[in-house]
Amino acid sequence: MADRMCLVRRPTFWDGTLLALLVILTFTLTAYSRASIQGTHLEVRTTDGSIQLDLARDGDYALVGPLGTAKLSVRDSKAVLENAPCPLKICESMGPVGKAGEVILCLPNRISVRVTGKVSIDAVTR
Amino acid sequence: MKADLPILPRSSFPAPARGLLAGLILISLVLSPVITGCRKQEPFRETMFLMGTLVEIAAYPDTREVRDAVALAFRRMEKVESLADQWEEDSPFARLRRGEGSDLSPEMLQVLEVALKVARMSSGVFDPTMGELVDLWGFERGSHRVPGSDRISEAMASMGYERLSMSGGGVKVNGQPVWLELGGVAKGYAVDEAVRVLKKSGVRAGIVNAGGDLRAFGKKPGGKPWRIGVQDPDDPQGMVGVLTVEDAAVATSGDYERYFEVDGVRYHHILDPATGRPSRSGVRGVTVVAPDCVLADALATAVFVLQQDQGRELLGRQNDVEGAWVLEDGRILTTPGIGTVIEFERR
Repeated sequence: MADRMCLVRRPTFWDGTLLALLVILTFTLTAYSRASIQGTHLEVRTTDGSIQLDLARDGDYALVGPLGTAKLSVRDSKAVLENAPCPLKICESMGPVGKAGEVILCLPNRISVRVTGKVSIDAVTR
Repeated sequence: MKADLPILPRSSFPAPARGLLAGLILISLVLSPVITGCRKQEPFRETMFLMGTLVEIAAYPDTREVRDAVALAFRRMEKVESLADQWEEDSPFARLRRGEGSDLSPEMLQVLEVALKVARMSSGVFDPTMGELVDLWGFERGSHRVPGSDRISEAMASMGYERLSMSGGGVKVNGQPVWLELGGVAKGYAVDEAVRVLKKSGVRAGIVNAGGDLRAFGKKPGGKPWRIGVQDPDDPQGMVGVLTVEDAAVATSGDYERYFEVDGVRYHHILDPATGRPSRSGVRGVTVVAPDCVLADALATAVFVLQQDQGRELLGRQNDVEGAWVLEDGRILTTPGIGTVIEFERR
């Protein structure tokens, strides 16, 4: 009877260990890289102070500044400013924002909306 | 005759599964201190609306002492803001507008000294006496308008940094009114003052960012340098590159942050003293890296107005100063030394 060459050996202890390491490392690196891009919260600052909002929770918020009230709309983990009372409405075109470090700024109405989370840069010069 | 070894019962837990469990335990032991350590290395961050912009201070480590130091730094910036206020009726700036000599505060004298130095170096392309012209366009007070040529000529007649002289701790003018515009440069000075307060309070690493004019000092945990994004003029949330800096100030002048449009024409806030109108030098933004923010601020404004070769020549005459231009056609130009002083990645 001819010998058959066995190409697949039986899995051992170390095969299991290696598989666990690969799976966990892949999961961890993927989760980390996602976290460093997608923000988790919004830090909203007005002349009344600052609050933190959950970016994952859809909602509409009224932000009051010296010029009047703007609407902050949060949908699908992204935020955008609408109905801004400032004259040029540059802030309305700065969104939607959802990545950590992104900012919507309305200087005339003294409103800032910053997405917080792990960022890959420390500051932006503009 | 060999003694028979005891036969141990075989485990019913298969070898690969035991391996999986061992791997899970091992990776948890390795990653746990790494994750915990990462959390501890986040800086303390605080923001405040000051000097017409949002100021952010980030400082390491996040301790009670550092938080107190940051509060002190913000108070210092508030003080500089009040000293730079030109609208109060009896302020030194108002007296200068009436043609009277004036005793500016020591802080504003320092700012004016840097402003005059850059004015001389740039042959007046940067001119701190453009206040009336800036006010005419409405950028400072939010009442934007395109002024007529006659009004522009009138405002330009009141300009001229050469008419100023500094002596005995004061500023003298030759009897004519002069309207100082130190707003942008004073912001750079405020950033430098905040850094001075933080360092004096024992903070070893931090960054003070006043609406994009910033200064970083020290190194982050792990000895890493600071990574500063340069905003894409066409995308408020995008970047054209990342600067890697240590102990340096960075300031950017651009046509995309403060502007208004009339009949499809964009009028931005960086005025050319030669024309009295927004500068049209083919540049969207200029970023300058310098040892301090007050100098970076003034140079960024001057270089934005100059043609690129003149701007490169101006920056080339400074010590430890580098620059980058984002042009209207999308190209990015840099000074020759930018690769050695800092790293600039084009994205």
